Amino acid sequence: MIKNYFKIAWRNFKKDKSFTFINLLGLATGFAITLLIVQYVRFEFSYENTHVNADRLVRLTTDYMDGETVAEQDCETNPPLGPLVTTELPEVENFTRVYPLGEPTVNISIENEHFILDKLFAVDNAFFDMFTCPLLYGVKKDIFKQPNQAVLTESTALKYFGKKDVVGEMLEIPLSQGLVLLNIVGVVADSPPNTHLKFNMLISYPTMLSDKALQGEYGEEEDNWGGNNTLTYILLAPNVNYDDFTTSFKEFNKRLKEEKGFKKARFIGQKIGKIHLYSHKTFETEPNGKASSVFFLLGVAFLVIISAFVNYINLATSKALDRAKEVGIRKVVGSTRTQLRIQFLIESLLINVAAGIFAITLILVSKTKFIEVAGLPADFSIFGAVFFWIILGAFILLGVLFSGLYPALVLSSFKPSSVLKGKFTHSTQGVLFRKSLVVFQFSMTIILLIQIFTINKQLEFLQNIDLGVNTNQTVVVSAPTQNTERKNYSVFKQELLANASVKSVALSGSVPGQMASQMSTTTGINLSEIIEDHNYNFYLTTIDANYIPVMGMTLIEGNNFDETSHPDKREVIVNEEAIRLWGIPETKEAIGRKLKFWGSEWTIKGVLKNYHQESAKSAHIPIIHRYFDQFQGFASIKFNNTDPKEQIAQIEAVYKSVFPTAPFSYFFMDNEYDKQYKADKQFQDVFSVLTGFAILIACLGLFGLASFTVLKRKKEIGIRKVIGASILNILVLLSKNFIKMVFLAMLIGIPITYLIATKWLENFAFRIELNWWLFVLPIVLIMGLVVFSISIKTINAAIVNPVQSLKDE
Amino acid sequence: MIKIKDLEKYYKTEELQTIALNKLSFEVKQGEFIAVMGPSGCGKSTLLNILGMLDDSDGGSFIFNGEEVINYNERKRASIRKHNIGFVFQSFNLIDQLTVFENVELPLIYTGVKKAERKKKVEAVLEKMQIMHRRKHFPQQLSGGQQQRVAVARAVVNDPKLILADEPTGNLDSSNGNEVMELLTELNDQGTTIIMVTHSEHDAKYSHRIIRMLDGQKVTENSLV
Ligand SMILES: Nc1ncnc2c1ncn2[C@@H]1O[C@H](COP(=O)(O)OP(=O)(O)OP(=O)(O)O)[C@@H](O)[C@H]1O
Ligand SMILES: [Mg+2]
Repeated sequence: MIKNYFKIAWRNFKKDKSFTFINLLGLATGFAITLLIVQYVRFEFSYENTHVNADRLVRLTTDYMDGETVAEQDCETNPPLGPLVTTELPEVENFTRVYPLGEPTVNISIENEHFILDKLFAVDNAFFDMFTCPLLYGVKKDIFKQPNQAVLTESTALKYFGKKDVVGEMLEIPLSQGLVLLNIVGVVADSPPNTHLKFNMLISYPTMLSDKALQGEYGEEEDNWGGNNTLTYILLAPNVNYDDFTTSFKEFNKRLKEEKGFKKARFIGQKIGKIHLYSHKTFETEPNGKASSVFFLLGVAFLVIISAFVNYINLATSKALDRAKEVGIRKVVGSTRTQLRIQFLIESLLINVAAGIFAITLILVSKTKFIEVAGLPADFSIFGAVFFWIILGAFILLGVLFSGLYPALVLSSFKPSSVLKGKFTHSTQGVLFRKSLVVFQFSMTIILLIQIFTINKQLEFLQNIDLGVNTNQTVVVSAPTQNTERKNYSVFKQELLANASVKSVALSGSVPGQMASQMSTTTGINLSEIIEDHNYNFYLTTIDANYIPVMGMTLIEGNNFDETSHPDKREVIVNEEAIRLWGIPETKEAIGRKLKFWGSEWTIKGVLKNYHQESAKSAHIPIIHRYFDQFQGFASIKFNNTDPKEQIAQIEAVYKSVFPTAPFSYFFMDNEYDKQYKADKQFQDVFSVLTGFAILIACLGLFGLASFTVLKRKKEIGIRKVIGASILNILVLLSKNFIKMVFLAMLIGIPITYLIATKWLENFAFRIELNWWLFVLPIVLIMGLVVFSISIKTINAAIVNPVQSLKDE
Repeated sequence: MIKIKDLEKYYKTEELQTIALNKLSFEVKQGEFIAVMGPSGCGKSTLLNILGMLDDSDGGSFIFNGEEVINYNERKRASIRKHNIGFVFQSFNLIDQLTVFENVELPLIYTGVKKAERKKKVEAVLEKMQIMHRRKHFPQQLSGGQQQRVAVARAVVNDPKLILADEPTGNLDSSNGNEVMELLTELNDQGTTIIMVTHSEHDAKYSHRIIRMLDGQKVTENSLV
C-alpha cells in the first residue's frame, strides 16, 4: 500500500514539473535560510555558555544619576567595590577586577623587538576560578597573586614566540610607572568567540599596585574611591537566588551611599549572560548585539518558512481538480478517508524531505558567504550542531503537518458521487482560506519591502550627513609609548611637513570617529555660577592649536588656541551641546564663563559648532577640549597625495626614523567612522538576504497560482475569445481578483510596517521622515509583479487558437 | 440481497430543491441481473450511488445482505464497499497515473491482499478480459473499449457479490458495447449480482428484469425470464 502511495506520488511529481519545482525550490530556500538564521540566533544566545559558572557570574556596573533619572550607564566601577562587596555580602563568594590596559593597544617588547597587542587586562587572582579558561601550561594556584605575572593565550604565544609553551619567558610592557618586565606564568586556550570578555593577555592586578602614585586609580587595600576605570565581576555563592542578591546589593548600595557620600552614582549588577544582547553602556569590552534585532530576524525567518508552506497549501489545493477524479476512484474501489489522508501526507512528506536535502545542499553552497554576512566566527560549525538536525527534522515535520494536512483534509473529503460524474468543476471549499493565505503573503511582502527601503534610506542618509568634521585624506597615527621619544614630536612634525603632499598635522587625545568611550568622562561638570543644576556626563579631550582647522571644525564663538596657549592657563573650548546642557541661553554669553572640575577653575575660550564624535547615529555629546601640545594620543595628518598607500609608506618612514623603538600604528579617519556602522550594515545585509528570499518565495507562489488560475479558466478564456474579448479584457478579468487581494494586503501591511519602521528609526538620533513613496513604491512593485505573472500566463493561453483550448476540455 | 424501501434523496440548491428519488422501493435477489431505465434526470445515477454507498440517502430503508446500512458511517460503508461491490462507469474512470495492471490491482491493495496473490489474481482477470498484453500501458494509450474492459476487470478482481454499472456501454461503439455486455452476462452466470443503468433497450435485453423509473419513482417492473 505504502509503495503504491510512493509510486503515485513520484508519478505526480514527474507529471507536474512546475508544481514540484515551485514547491521544492520554495521549501528548500525557506528551510535553508531559516536554518541559517536559527543557527545565527543560537550563536547570539550562546554567549558565555562556555563558562561553567555563567549562571553565578555577575558584572557590577555604575549608573550615574541626575536626580532620580539615570544620566549614563557605565560598565566600569571603582576598584574597592569588588573586595568590599565580597567581604560584606554572604551571597558573594569571590570577585575579580578586570582592568583594561591601553585602550585600544599596548606596545610590548620581547628582547627589544616591539609589537602591538590589544585586549590586555589586569585581573585578580580569582579570575580563573570564576571564568572557565583551560590552562594549557602553568599552575593555576596563585597565578595572579604576585606582581609582574602574565598569562598569554595560545595564539598570542604562538604569534610572538613561535611556540605555545612560553612559561618562563619574559616580556616588557609600558605602564604609567615606566617599562615593566613581566614573567609569563601560564598559557590558556584562546577566548571563545561567544564571550563578551575576550583577551589576548592577562597580567596580575598587583602589578598595577606596585606604582604607589597610581594606587588611587587602581585601588589598594585602603579605601580609595577616586578611580572608576575597572570592570568588576563577582561570583555568587552556589544556590544564591539572583533576586535575593539584588535585594541585598541594594541595601549594600544604600549603606555605601551613607558611608561614602556617593550621591550621584549607584551600582547595578548584571548577569554576564545578559551582557552580549542587552547591555549597551559606555566602556563595553566589545560592541554588543541587540536582542531586538536578533528576534526580529528570527521572526522574519519564520515568516519566510511559513510563506513556503503557504505556497504548498495553495498549489496543492488548486491542483485539487486534477486529483479529484483519483480521489473518487480510490474511494469507489474501497479506500477510506484516512487512507487517502495518509497518501496525501506521504506526498507532502516526500516533498518536504526532498526539500530538506536540497536545503542542505543550498546551505553547503552558501555557508561561507552567510557566515561572513552575519558576522559569525569563521570556523562556525553549522552541521556539527545536533540542534541543527533537530530543527531540520522539526521543520520537515511542521512542513508535513502545516502544508500537508490542509490539502489532505480537503482532497480526502471529495465525494466520489460528485467528482466522478464529470460535472465537478471546482471546489468552492476553502476559497476564503486560500485567499487569506495569499493576502498574508502579499502583506508580508509589502511589510518586508517597506522595511528594507526604510533601512536602506536611513543608512544612506546617515552616511551623507554632514559630520561637522572633514575626514577626507586624513591619517591618524598613535603616539609612541615612551616619554623620551614623545619629546621628539616637533622633529617628527617638521619632517612630515617637509614632505610636499603633507598639508598639516594636529595633536589630540582622541579623534572624531572613535567611540566616545575613548575619551575620558567626568560627571557633573558645571559652571561656577550655576544656571541649571544637573549631573550630566561630560566628555573631555585634549587638542593643540592646529586641531580645529585640520579637522575642519567651525568655531562659532571666541578664539582658537594659539602660540600663547599653555595647559596651565586652564582654558577650554566647548561645543554647543555643552552650552545647552549648562543652560547658557546665548552662545556668545558663554565666552569667559568659568567652569569647575578636577579641583580647578577653567575658562571658556571658544565654542565649537556641534560635530559628530561617534557617527551620525548617535546624538551630539557635550565635549570639553583642553589645550595640550605634547604627543600623547594621536597625530592627525592631512595629505593631498592621491595614492594613500604611498602616503602611508612616507609617513611610516618618517615615524620610524624619529621614533625608532615605537611600533607604527595608523588608521584612516573615514574608516573609523565607517566602523561605527558595521552592526547596522550587518543587520541590513542579513535582512536584505532574508527579504530577498521571502520575496522570491512569494513570487514563486504567485506565479504558480497565476498559472493555475489561467489553466482552470482556459476553457472560459477560449469561449470569451470566440465571443470577441480582447487579450486586454481577459487580462483585466484574471488580474482583478489578485489586485483586490493586494489592496487588502496593503490595508493590513501598511499600519504594521509604519509602526515597525517608526520604532526602528527611534534608534537613531538623526533620522529620515517616513516618506509616502516608501509605502507606494513596494505596492507598485507588487502590482507590477502580479500583472506580469498573470500576463505571461494569460497571453500564452489567449494566443492559443480558441478551437484548440475548447477541444482540450 | 438488496431491499430498499421508500428511499428518498433531495438535492438542494439556492433556488430550488430537486427530488431525485421519491419513495423508491424494490428488491434484488442474489444472482439477479437488473437493468434500470428511464429518461435523463429521473434519478438512475443517484440510485446507483446510494446502492454503492457512495452517497447518503435522505430517508427510507436500505438493507444490504440482511443489514440495515442506511445510517452507517463512512468507514463502515467503505469497508462493505470494498469487500462486496464493484463499479463500472460510463466514463471508465481509470487513474491516469497508474498502468492497467496497477489500476486493476488497486482494490486488492485496499482489501489487504498479499503481493504474490495480487499478481496471480490481476493476471487471471486480465487474461479473462483479454487485455493481458496491455498490462503495462497507461489508460490514455488504450481505446475506449479496452479502457472499459480494464474498468470491468478492476470491478471484478475482488470477486464482488454485486456489480453496479452506470451506462457501461454509453461511450462505446456497438461491437465494443456488445463485448462488455457479454462479459457482464458471463459474470452473472458465475453468480455475481448485477445492477446496470442503461438507455439502450438492446443492452437491457441481456438482463433478467427491467425497472423503469420516472421522476425518482418506479413506474414499471417487467421480468424477462
Ligand atoms: N449534485 C447535484 N446537485 C443538484 N442536483 C443534482 C445533483 N446531482 C443530480 N441532481 C439532480 O437530480 C436529478 C437526478 O439526477 P441523476 O444524475 O440521478 O439522473 P440520471 O437519471 O442518472 O440522468 P442521466 O440519464 O442523464 O444520467 C436530476 O434532476 C439532477 O439534475
Ligand atoms: Mg446518470
